[in-house]
Amino acid sequence: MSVRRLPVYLVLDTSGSMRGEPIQSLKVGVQSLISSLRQDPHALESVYISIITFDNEARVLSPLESLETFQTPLIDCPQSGATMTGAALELLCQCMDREVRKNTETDKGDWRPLAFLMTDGSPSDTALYNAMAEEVRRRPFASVIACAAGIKAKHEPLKKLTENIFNLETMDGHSFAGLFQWVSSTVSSGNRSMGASASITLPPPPPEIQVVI
Amino acid sequence: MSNLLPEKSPSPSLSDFIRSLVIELAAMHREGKAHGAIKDEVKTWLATDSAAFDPLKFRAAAISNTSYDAGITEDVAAFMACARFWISRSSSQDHSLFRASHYPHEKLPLPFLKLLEKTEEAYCHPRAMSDFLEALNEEHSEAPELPADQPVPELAPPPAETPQQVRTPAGIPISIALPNGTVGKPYEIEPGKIARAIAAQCNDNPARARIAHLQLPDDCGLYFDAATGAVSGVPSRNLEQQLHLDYISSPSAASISCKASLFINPDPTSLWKDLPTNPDAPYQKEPLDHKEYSLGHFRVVAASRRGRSHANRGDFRDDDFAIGHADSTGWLVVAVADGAGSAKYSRQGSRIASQVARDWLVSTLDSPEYASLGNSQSLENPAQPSNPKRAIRDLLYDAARLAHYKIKEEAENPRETLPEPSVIRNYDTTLILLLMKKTEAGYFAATFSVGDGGAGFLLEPKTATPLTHADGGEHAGQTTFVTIASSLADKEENLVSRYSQTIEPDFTAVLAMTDGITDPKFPSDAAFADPKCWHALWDELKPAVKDSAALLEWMNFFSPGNHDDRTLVAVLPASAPANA
Repeated sequence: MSVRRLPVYLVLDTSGSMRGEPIQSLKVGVQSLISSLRQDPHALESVYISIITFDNEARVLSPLESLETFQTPLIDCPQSGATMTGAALELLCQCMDREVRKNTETDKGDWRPLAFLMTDGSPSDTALYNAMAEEVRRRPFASVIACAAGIKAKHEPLKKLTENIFNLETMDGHSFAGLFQWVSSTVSSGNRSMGASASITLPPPPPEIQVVI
Repeated sequence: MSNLLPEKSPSPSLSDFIRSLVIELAAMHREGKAHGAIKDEVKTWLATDSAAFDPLKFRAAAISNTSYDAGITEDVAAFMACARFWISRSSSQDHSLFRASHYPHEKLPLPFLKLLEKTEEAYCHPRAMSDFLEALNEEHSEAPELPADQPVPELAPPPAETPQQVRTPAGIPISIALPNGTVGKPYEIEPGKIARAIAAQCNDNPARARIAHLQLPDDCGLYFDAATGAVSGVPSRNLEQQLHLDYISSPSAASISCKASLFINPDPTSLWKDLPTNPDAPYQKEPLDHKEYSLGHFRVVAASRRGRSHANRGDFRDDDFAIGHADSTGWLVVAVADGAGSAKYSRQGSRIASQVARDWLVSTLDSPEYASLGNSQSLENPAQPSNPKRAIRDLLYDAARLAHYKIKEEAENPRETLPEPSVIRNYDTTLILLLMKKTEAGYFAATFSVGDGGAGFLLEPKTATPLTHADGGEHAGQTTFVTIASSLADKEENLVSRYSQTIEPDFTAVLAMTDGITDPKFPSDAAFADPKCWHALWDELKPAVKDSAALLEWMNFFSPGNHDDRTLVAVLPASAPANA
């Protein structure tokens, strides 16, 4: 019998503006997310993680893999360039359509997936972004959470994607650690039984994260 | 790094330039400044081929990096990128990819061009630069030494643990990530696999490469076989560790040290905590409940236990059950309810649903008109308006609706003090109702279910009839609840899809359970419809239903990914010996 998986997609901005401390903090944050999830028995049995990064283009840095076997990839970013958030969402939809299993007569489906988008800017590919934000909304994600990191991150485009927007004022190690700890508790609560229409209840964010309304 | 050794006399000005640049960069970084004019300096230097590097000018063009923490690594990367760009721009042959062979420029030594070529796509590591500088020094002892008062540049740190490390041709130290393991699960890396992985990175011949030694912690349960290069064993504890191994690229080569990381996950079963629930929260409920009854023609064994996922967080058990018997007419009433994990008062929703439905069904059925089923027709349709007797399925539907309204009443006028006003959504619960009666024609069973979980009718040796159809969605955990008005809105549709009945001359057991049991025991809808799966479950249950404490203990079985609350009610014939 295959275990029902909880797919978790991390969609991370690696555009040029992330160079330096932000990207370093992000790497440490992702690593600490993996480590803390590994201390959660439920997550260790059911969470599958995929990392999508985007800058001039979007790519699947780590295909969906179980937390047990997951190895944190090298996350790097170019010197400069565009922020192709729309392309990243397009890739997210493709991955989800391909990877997330549905209930069938003979197999139990996966839990509805979670997606976290972290960006420190605004989409360069606006038209694609708008179209793809709608595509994401049409898909049965248990929750899509967007995090606007730093002062340059724009909230308006993120509102098209989800109601769950959080603001990270600074992009230092401390803030990212708080963010990913919270992501970890959100993933843990995603394992609970959910209603057909209900969206998951997010745990309260840490003080470094501001809820955007 | 034989590929980086200079082949012909390089211009001394090159090493001078790089040296000066490195010293200036290191000094600037200490001042909190960065990479101001690398681009211009590289351009000037390449264009003039003189000792044109002006440290003062370079420093003056530095920018503050207080808000931008670029490391010296970034500056070296920038230096390499600029050098590549300016050199390749001067050629019409190839703009996209740098080729050392295209630039037989006198003033640029081939090793430097090769270094640029190797770093064309790979990330440039400072160590590649430091190796290059070392190589220059070896060849040209006349090259000026660093002034004694200059601090050692950050760019060329003394190698940390091992004097020699396995590097890629571009000079990046290789670190191998061994596959993750899990405590208690057999672990194996096939013979030669690690050596092949390193050889592939170094452009060495994989057939000749091997690992001479892999240093594993003594008590970790894993062993390295130096003869074959395999790793095997059963991890005994969690690890997150950097290991060292000795790599030999060919039988004649000396061993080189290489880092390897190994991660051993903890055994998930060891991580579960059993936290107490909050004693001040409204709607208290014990984590465990078990009861057994002897009611008329039936013996009932019931148990309900908090799932590990709830115990791990100190959450309440959300499941509940209620059993009743209409003594004058012989109807047995069983209700099983599963509160939604996502609803904060669902433990109360499941309690109200099961108790309200049970109480109302028992009082309604405890009346002479329900003393007999009569012919099967009367089950389906009482027909005569004079007959107050209503069809069983109508009763069950009404019991579910009554449960809905009673929960709504509680949500709107809670009997307990809640921290904030509530809504019925916070009480979401499923509900499975089972009625049984012994008749002249045999044992009659009828069910009505909203949500997941399920019930089935078993007769040994091989017969099994599922009595419910689970409400599921496309994904795991999606279901519907008796608390959602739309679930019960359409009566006709409900009577068709949620009601089920059967009558058999005899029975072995009738089981009603929540999804904490059905998910692990019936992995798919096809399995739920398969009598073999029901009898496999019954084989496990038979020794456990001798008393409710044993049943409760059995329900503690471990199944990866299935840690929800579990509730099971087994209805058995009264004649069944208690120790069957």
